[in-house]
Amino acid sequence: MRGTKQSGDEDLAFVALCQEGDADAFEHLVRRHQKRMLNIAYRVIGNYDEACEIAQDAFVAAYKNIAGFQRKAKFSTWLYAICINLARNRRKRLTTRHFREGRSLDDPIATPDGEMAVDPPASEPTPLERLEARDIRHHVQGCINTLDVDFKEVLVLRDIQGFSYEEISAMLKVPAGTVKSRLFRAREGMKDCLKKVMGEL
Amino acid sequence: MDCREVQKKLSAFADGVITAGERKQIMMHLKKCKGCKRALADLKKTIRYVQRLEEVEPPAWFVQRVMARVRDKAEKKQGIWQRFFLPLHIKVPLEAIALICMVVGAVYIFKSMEPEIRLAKIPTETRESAPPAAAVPQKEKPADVGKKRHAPVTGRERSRFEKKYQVDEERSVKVAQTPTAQVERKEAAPATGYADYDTLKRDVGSSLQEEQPQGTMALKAKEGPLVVRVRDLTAARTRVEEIARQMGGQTSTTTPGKDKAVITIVLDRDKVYDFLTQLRLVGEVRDKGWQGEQGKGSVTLTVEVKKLSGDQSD
Repeated sequence: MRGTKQSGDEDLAFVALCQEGDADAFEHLVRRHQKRMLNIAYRVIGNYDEACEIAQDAFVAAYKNIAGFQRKAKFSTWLYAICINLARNRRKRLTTRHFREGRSLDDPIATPDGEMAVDPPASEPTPLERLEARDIRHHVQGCINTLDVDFKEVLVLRDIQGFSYEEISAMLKVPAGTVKSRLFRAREGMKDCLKKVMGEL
Repeated sequence: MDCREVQKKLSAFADGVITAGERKQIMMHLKKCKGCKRALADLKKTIRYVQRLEEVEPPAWFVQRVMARVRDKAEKKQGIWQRFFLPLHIKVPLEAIALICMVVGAVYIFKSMEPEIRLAKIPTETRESAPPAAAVPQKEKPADVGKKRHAPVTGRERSRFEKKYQVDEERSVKVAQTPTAQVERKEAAPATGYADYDTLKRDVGSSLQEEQPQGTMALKAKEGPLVVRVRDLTAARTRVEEIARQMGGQTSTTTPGKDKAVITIVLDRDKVYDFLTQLRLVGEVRDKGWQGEQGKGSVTLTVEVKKLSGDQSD
């Protein structure tokens, strides 16, 4: 598990202040959750600037709707769910745009440090190369980008953010069994993709 | 448990979210099956690759920008305008409905007012259109005439024009000669009284041309009596009869109405002019004309004497 796990109680004190109209209290919540929000958005969307926009929008939307937050789940779960939803919507819009524009197999894949050329699986086995850690990360993000959004979300939330199945189930509002099966397929997809891209795991 | 089933559960197995029984079964299978063992190893590697992805740091301006937007929203929320005016998702449809109502209302009002507008337009239109229509002939006609007059005259046309002019001159000379002849004829027979009558007739003719509405002696009119308007009907009647008798005429008077007397006078032709002059002294003579017979020595005049009432137009 990565990141600092917030105890609900700590957040709730600030949430209560926000619900009374204290905007300064919200700043504490932003400071506390900004990194995680950004990273979730970043891994789902695959673009840093877009991720910043999504994270901002998610915080603003959270503040706007903070009165509607009922303490059924942890505040962080509720907050990240907003972020995931916004990222999903943004992703949909982007893919629709890509679909409309038409996409070629040779089109570059968005990666953290710019765009990466797709390396289609060659019929012959690729010669083994020593890949630097940086290159591997590019390939990993490239493979995440190829996943369907449902699989991508569970992969990001579980393997990158380290949330429990229950938390993911609460965030995505799907049963735990679905989270499990989605995660299995996401990991399988990643495995196949990485094998194709890197030749060997 | 076959390989497919085992591989399907490897993901959950790796996370430890699996029942103890399943865990035992999978462990047993993995000991025997190299393929599934490798699949588990690949899965774990894959997970490790994903987990190894570095975290990104939020930009320095992130919190500030978020809070600026949040505070902007908070101010709006607490602002009096926000309370006065409805949120956008209600406001926009309301405004749309209001706009539609305004448009419909405007159309309705316009339609109900349209006839009035049309009526109100008519005079202005005629007023506006009439002057140009009248102005066109005024402007164009003289110009046309002018053009025709000032049209360049070619040599041949000029000679023809001069010829015509000469002919015209000759004619006018002839015309000019005729009155002289008439005058001579008149002078030749001064005693007959015809000349006087002719002069009178010519005078009347000219006066008729000059001042038609007030031509007091419309002798050319074939029908209708001479109408004399007076204040005192009886005195005037007596006076007219007297004048006629003094001039040697015969009178006969009838009184068809209270304010009217008709006098028929038979008078010598040469006395008519004097009679009319005298008659004008009696009252206002109107040019309804007179019934005259151009007999040999005498004329029959019908004089209608009318009493002047408030309304003089009759």
